[in-house]
Amino acid sequence: MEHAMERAVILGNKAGLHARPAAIFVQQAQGFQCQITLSKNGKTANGKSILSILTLGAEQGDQIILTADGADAEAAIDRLTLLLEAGAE
Amino acid sequence: MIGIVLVTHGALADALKNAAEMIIGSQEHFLAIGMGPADDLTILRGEIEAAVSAVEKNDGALILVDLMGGSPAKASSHLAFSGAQVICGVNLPMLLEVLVQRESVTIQELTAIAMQAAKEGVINLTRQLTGK
Repeated sequence: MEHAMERAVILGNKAGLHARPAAIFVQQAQGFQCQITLSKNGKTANGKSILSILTLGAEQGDQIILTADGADAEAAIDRLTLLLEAGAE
Repeated sequence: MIGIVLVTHGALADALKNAAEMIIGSQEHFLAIGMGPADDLTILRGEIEAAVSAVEKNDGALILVDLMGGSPAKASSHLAFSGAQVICGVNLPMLLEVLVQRESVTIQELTAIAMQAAKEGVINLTRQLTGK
């Protein structure tokens, strides 16, 4: 069943969504069929484009709205939420 | 994973590779070839072919060149005639996008992504920040 899902996530990584965490996020997002977007303060980024994510400039503690639209939206939201919330390194 | 080969004048290829890996971490199946001022085109072509063989594994390779019409482009044109995908005008936005998306798309799709990213990465920062 296809549906769009949304979840608010607090960014856990100390370095924010830059550099390696951004690359890892995009690579994981690529593995899902659904469309994935990230929003911060109304500014939206394509979750499958590293340039889009880097320009979002998301820092630790920011609230990010994660949206997934498509067949595997739920799995995508679950997986990517974990990535965004993770505080390691 | 699609392999990536960078071919440029001088140290640009190494510098682009270095910059990309500083941002997104070290990458596999990714080689940089820098051409010296007196380099032989035939030798350079052989180096490019060897690099492509080394990185392409099961998914092929994308060759990114600095400048249309320069020796790296000329040396790559033989491969282009044989069906390899060669793009001129590589910049860091193109390279980053290509490196993170190459596991999940075809070479045709990656080529389109590369072309788009290179252009989208060119932004007037002053205008964006100040409106002027």
